[in-house]
Amino acid sequence: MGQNLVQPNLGLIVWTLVTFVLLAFILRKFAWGPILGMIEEREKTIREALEESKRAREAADEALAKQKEMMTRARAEAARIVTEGQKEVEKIRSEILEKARGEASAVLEQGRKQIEFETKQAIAQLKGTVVDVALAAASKLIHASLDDAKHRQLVEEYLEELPTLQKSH
Amino acid sequence: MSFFLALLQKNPEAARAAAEGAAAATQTAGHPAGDKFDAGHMILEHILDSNTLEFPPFGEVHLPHFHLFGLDLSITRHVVMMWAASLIIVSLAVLAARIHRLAPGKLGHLVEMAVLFIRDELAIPNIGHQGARYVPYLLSTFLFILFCNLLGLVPYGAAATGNISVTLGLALIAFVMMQTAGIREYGLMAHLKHLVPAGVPSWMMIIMVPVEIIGMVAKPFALCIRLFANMMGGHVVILSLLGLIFIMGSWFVVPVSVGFVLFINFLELLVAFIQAYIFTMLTSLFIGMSIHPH
Repeated sequence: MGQNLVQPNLGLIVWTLVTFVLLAFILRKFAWGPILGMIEEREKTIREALEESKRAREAADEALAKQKEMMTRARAEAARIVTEGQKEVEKIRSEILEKARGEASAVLEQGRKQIEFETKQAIAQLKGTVVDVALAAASKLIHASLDDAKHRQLVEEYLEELPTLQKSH
Repeated sequence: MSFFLALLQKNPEAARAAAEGAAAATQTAGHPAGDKFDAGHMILEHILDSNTLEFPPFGEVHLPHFHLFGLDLSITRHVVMMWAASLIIVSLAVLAARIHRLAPGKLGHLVEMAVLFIRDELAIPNIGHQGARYVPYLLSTFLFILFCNLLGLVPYGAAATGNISVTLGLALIAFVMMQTAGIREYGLMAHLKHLVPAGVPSWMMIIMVPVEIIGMVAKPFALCIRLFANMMGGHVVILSLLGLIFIMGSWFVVPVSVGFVLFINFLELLVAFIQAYIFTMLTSLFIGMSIHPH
């Protein structure tokens, strides 16, 4: 047979090289290139879809968080407004009350002054009247018994007392 | 059996002498009609390359001889087997590529599985991100070896990968791929410098350079021998078990032998895949080593 199990045959090596190199080039051009390209394209599509969905979810989460925050803020705002309103109302109420109280006391004071004034006037009037009455009575008395020395002395004594009476008023 | 002893010694001259002795012995015995069965000759006849394609019981096809520049470029049985394997791979892969769309069919899935396996389990982990560039080569290597191996298991087929010339050719291409990977990454001079680890004293170069060159050659050499020996060995076992029937000359051996042969055949089916995987895996590993030295 002339062949050996472990002795390489140059011709067969050349055929192996030619066959394999040709096979590799044909496969690269017509099979692996397109297949790998498509696999990569598909992987890209999947990756992009995943990223897209991740982004969308993140955006949704963010929007939800924002909305929640807005809700919280709005609620706080509403509470604040209500509290402030209450405070305002309280303030106005107390102000009104204060004013009313002030007015009332002013009115009272005026009334008191009026009363005092009128009392004084009345007293003055009364004093005048009393003098007139006293004078009338005195004149009547004088008319009746002026000649009487004793009565004369009485009137004189009375008149003597008058200035002190006025003073004691 | 002197042939096997010679083979174990790994001495080419002794093996050749044994093979020629065996051939001579059968010639004197008159193989087809002779009463003495020569198992060694039978096994060699099946494993070695030849210029005929045998299709028993229909006959045989004689393949053309031709020489070019003093080189024997005859189309032999193993050349035909390589072509057959290539034809099968090309038709499957091209068909898969043609029908391969965003939603591939059964064939598309099968081919895609192989593509993804080579890319994601071998190229990217062993070579790194540059691995994508070597995926087509690794895929072709894997499928070529796999189909050559499988052709050894079908009737009328022969395992071209059980021939040392074929595995040597494949190892040569692997060697070229390893070196070009390093050169492409670093340039020729820097790549050669990477052969020797950095920081080695200059006087050590006298030892280190030859050692590293041996290491550089040893990698593809190991690839060549591993594939050849595994494929050849399996066939030798199968043929020896069948030869046992004729050596014993008894019908009682038939069930035992055939049972074992069936078992070994299944084992060989496994080995066909494993060896294709190992060759491809080691090639990607070596390419990775020349891209990332040390």
